[in-house]
Amino acid sequence: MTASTAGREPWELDASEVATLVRRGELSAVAAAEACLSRTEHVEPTIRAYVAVERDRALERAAAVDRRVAAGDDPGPLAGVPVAIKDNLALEGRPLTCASRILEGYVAPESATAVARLLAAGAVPVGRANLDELAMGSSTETSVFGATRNPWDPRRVPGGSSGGPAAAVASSGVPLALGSDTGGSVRQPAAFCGVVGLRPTWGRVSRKGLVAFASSLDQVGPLARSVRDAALCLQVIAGADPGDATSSDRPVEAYAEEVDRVLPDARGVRVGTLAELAEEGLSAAARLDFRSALDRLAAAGAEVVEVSAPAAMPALAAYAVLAAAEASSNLARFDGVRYGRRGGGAEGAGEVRSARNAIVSSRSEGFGREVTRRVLLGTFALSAGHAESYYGRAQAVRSALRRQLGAVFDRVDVIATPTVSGGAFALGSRLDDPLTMYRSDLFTTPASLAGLPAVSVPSGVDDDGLPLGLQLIGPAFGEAALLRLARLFERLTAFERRPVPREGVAA
Amino acid sequence: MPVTIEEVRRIASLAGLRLFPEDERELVPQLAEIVRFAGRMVEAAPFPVSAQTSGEPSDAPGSREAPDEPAASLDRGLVLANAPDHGDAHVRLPPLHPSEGA
Repeated sequence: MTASTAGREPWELDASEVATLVRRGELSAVAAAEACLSRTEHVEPTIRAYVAVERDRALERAAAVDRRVAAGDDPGPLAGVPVAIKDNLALEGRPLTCASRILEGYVAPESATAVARLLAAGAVPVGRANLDELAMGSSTETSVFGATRNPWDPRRVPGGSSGGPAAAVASSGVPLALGSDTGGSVRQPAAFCGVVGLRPTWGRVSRKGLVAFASSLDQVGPLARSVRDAALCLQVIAGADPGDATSSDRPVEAYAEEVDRVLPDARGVRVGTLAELAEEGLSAAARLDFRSALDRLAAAGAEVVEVSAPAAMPALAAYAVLAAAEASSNLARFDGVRYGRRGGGAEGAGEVRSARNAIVSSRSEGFGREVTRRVLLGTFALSAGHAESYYGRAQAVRSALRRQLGAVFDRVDVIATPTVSGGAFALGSRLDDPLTMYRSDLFTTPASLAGLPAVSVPSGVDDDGLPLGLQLIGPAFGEAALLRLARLFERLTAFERRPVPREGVAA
Repeated sequence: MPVTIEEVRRIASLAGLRLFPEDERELVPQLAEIVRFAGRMVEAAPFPVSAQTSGEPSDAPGSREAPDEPAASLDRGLVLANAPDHGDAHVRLPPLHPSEGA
């Protein structure tokens, strides 16, 4: 099998290209995996995208794909595609850490449904990608395994919480990764790292096997080098799952084929910009980039209009309360009893005086600072005397936002916002300022609260050469049209994908 | 309503967490700031308080929560393999002593 194609190395190919070549027998899955593993091992000392790179397992799985091709079988639409899996998505038989001490020693008994579907489609996991602890964060700095770096500038964050997946794709270690998005955790790191990040409609993809953070907000989504790859991944992982009663039974559309029906222009497309967010807090470069993005869409024939959803203003505060409240409930399961770290000292469980003591020790030793902060905030918001003022009002904001955005989509086909308010910030610059860190999610939380699909597409760079993203939000289960427009924008933008990290740039 | 250290200690106990003095020194003002931010913005929303809506858009055609489908539990061996301390058939926990605090 050829080791490179059209002058490009296998690690430079998109996921769709790898799968096509592997299925045709023109590229072996082993060669693709070897190339990506070599690339990963080259950049990993700088980027630190992974909790664990799993070379031997990746090559075994790639060899199995090759055997199927040799036997005349079709391994599937992601045949031989090297992928990174965020380490809050279970992979059978492998540790599942969520980048936290609380799950020390835990081994996943079965794969998450989304992961199982990737594997059934022929994908080859090369490793478990780093994340903010228990998916709570916007910078991938709170992982117990250390911070991931942004491949565009390793002195900066990749974003979070899916910073590991984003960095793995951006550094060309893999063409595709699976992350999770609660308040923006796929889209924001995608923007910071110059890749595509998709948050599907809540319920479009099963959450079985995704370690729960905020169950009414969590969603599994792909990070990829291209909109087409993101569409292909969605097509593979979407669909009803008896293991997740909240997964939708709506038919899964042929998203990859849909985006292949390339829009020649944007005529007839109505794009809304939210008056309440508009250019809130944007850096000068981000403001210019957003306006330029809208101009490109308008020049392609789109009608750009201002729309209003007043609940978008308090949405970030509502998200902070609701996500923390749900997290405090979900994380009650981490008690050191049935799995994970049991606290109480190196002497072992027998030294602990009581069950209550063991549980409190386990949790206090197991959770990091940000997780502790959110559990406290969530418990506060749900406690007697506060629940109506905080949790109740946040729910009211959410209900109102859902209704208002529903009405907006009677007027427009898609809502456009910046994904982020500026380029990636410096490592360590916001760790002691949680409120500023939370504001990283200003533009991404409304879609999360309303359960709507949203995609971030690279739109340009700021004055420091750091990527920025355009976020497009669609109506519920409107991924096909959303991704077609995203692909048009991708063509209009021609974002320069260059090899990062640049040689010689150290963290 | 300001967030006091006594409130944070009470909340921590409810949440099954132990905070050391250095944790309290850092967390109390941070939580107070976050609570102020959340409270101010949410109070500014002129919406009547209404019932929770789920993430699933209830008005979207064809969308509904699927009924639960019972399935086999995890194999006991698999469950026990992840337990920090277990006997042959059960997870083992230190004794319950109601008189002992966290």
